[in-house]
Amino acid sequence: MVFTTHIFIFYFLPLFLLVYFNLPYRWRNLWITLASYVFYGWWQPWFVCLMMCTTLMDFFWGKVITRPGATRPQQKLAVAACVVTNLSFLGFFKYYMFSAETLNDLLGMVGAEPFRVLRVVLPIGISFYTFHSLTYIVDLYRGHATPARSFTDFSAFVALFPDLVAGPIIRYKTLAEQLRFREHTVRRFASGVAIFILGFAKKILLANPCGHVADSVFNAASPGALDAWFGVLAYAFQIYFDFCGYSDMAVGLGRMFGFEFLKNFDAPYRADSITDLWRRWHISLSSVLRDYLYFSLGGNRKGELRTYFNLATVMLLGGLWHGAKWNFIVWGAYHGVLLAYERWRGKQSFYSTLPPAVRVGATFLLVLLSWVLFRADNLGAAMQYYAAMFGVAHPASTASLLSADIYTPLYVVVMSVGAALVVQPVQAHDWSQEPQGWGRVAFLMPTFVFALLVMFSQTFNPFLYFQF
Amino acid sequence: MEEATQPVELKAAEVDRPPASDGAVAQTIARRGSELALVVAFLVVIATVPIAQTLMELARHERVQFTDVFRYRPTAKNLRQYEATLKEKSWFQQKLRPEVQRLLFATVRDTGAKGVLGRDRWLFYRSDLRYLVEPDRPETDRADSKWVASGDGSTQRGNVVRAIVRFRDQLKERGIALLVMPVPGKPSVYPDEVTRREAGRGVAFRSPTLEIIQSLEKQGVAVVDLFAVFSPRGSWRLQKVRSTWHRTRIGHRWARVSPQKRWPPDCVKWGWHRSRRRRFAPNACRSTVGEMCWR
Repeated sequence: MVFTTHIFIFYFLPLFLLVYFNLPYRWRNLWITLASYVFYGWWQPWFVCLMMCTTLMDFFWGKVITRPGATRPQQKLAVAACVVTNLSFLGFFKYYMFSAETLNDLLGMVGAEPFRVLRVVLPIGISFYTFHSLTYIVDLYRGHATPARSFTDFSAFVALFPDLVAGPIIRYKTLAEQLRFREHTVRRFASGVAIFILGFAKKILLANPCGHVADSVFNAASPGALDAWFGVLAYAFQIYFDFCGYSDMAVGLGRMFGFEFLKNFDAPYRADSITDLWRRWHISLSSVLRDYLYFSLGGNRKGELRTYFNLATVMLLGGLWHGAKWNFIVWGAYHGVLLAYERWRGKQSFYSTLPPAVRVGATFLLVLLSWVLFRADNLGAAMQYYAAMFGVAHPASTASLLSADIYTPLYVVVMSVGAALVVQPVQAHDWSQEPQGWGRVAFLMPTFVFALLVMFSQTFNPFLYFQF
Repeated sequence: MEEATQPVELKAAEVDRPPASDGAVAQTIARRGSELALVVAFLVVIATVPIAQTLMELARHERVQFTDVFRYRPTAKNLRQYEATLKEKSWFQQKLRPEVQRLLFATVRDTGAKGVLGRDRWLFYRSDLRYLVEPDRPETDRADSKWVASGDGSTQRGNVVRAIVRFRDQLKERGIALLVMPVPGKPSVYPDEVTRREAGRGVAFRSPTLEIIQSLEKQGVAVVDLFAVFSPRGSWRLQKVRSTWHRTRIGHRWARVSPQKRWPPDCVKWGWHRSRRRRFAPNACRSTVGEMCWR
């Protein structure tokens, strides 16, 4: 199910809240679990079986690790078994086809006969819930968390529908206490409503129109240079408002039933270096990669060269986490190299001496270039797009028709509003935590109703991060 | 000494905290009121749609739509169908969507997912425009097949030509002649009405359909080239807003000669017979051929 659909807003959510607030406290986690399974199974019912299977398995490994009298080697073995099993599932569903097709390409190069590749359907959100489970196991092993009180609590944590399919990635230790006890107040619910409405409006009113522009340009045979820049700018806004909007809605839904999730975005396009960008963009993923991968590789404790290597490796794997395609790997490597370079310069960008506004602009330009890799269908398409951006490729004879599709008054207005919003410092997460006065109510409710009305007129548009 | 100083410190701490003034209390109450109002308004909005929809369906003695989820097996296909039906049959969706589309068109000239507004209020299908702008994509295998097929280098447009030629051959075996008439989309014929950029470019614009026509002609398939007929100098003109066409005055004479010159004799004969047997509607492609051949 998707948050910005008729069925979620008008059927699933009211029914969920109605039952949740009428149940005795001890049954609420079970209700969250059941509702989350319905939410997740809506795409493909058998995906639920897979998630239940991994949840059961991880709960069992958690018990093994925290068993009284378990020795350190036994715990280590249990962690290794759990990590290997979880990553095997993820690897099969997400990377099997990519690996097999790459192998086929290599076989083709040496003139060998390619083998048949099984079509594997990627379960939505598998990367997210696998990470949820892994943080639980590793935190238990490191002694940073206590084991789940019951299987219901643990399955509610893994399946929690607000953050299930597109994050933010929440660690068990963050939610452990909240799974035991949550405070339900009007104030918290109101702040949840506020941030949910802002996220909903970001998705419907900004991300979807920007997505239309980006799709038109990226799908074009050979756009002109101006159109290509406009297209990648639209994609930069689309991915930000789409993902940030989803995170806001997730945080809002969580608050409605008493959970508090961490902030996932902090004005990323105001970053003045790539290092700064990764402190502001998808904060939950960056911190998970840092705590569970970068530190495990040795972090910066094993010498300068090893630090650069670790940084580049983490970003490379971060790229691969986003998708099984060469362009994601190159995207990760691009960011890894830039991060390592800035680390070498003492966490300073190569333009750190310039005025702040120029630094922000330069960082944004570097990010724009990387979004081409992220959006293009494959590496070849990305190279063609770069050629179009820099005027190297000759536009197709029909390319000028694209302007009728992308420079419409609606898209120009949306892009302008988007540009104004990405550079302002106030973030929905912080803003919504302040008391909601009458002025805010007067702003939020008409915004929500207007966004709902626009949703009625829009065709289905899933969230970008569902594919990861 | 300690006993004497302790109460003083406590007192100081109490003094430091400002007493709640009447204004602050009123502000807190107002905030609570506004927060409660926000929550209630939100819940009312999200609950009104399903409740009103259910009541309407009950009043009309219809089956309550949302209960359909329990009537069918929960397969992905059934769930998608259920979701789509629930949305499409929603009274709010049906009533409000046209109004919102009207409002968006009036304010920001938004023509929705299917349309593109050109110059001078010409309307085009977005799919027609994208057909011209997007490249000929490699033919992909079916997404529901069990195995991933390795690409054989064929493209979607290339496959169209192959399929038509195969179909022509199959019909020929049964003694039936095939006449293909690709109807060009409006942007293919009037690109300068789509955007000012195209109008001012002065570069030859070429629709991919012309390449398909050429390929078919090379393989001996009888094809009607409507590009010439619909061109600004042609005998027919596609309408500005609708996707139908009308006859122009300037092109009458040209239309009488040109199609018979280009089409193979069989085609003209076929068209003549069709037009004699049936009365033609000017908007139907089939009849247009008939009329043009007869003339």
